[in-house]
Amino acid sequence: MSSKSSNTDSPQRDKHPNVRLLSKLIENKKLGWWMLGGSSLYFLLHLGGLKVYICPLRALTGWKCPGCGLTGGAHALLKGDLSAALHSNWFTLFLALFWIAVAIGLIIPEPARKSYIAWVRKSEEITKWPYIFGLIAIIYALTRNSLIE
Amino acid sequence: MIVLLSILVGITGLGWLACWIMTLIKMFKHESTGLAVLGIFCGIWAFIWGWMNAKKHDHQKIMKIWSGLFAAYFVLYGLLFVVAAAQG
Repeated sequence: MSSKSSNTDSPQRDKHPNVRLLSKLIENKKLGWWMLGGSSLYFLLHLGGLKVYICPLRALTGWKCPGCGLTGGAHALLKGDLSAALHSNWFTLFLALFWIAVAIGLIIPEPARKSYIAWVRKSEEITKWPYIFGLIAIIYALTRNSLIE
Repeated sequence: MIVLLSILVGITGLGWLACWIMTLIKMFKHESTGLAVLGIFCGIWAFIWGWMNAKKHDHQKIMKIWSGLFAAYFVLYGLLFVVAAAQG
């Protein structure tokens, strides 16, 4: 009985490698659009002076989470100040390029989109860059509050 | 007033953190690790994923609490800012 229920829970997970990130957001159009739309709306509100999201970790402890400074960094990037953007958060440029790649994947027409997804999936599986990204993020989160700034 | 507001902000902030962590656990359990890492970077991405998958992963209760705390935290933090500015 229990093995039956566990079998029904897991097959979807086995089909998809854990390493996927960009391809997942492009493939799942609804999720991709919501994530992209939510981020864009938040950024536009921030540009307008309305800070909708205040990081609870920073507000409560004063420690910066790995994502702290991304919005300010994106703002600096928009002004063309790359060094300020990177000083604000190491991942500013990477995540800006990431969301551009998501937007391209969501916008391009179907036959090209399919091959784009296949190419992204292959790059994720071969280089395992989402894992590297996660690992660097953990190191950054652990060190940015003490050693770097 | 400032002390009371600070305590309330602290409580809602802690609740928000707890909901964020619980959503991240769901993400790591049911989603690809890569996408879950994105949830660590910004609570908003985890929040969007949480609502989009709330029914599928039986996560509606946490998301409703998180949304309520989100609104409360925003209002209380704003109030605290205004009161602190008014008192100099």
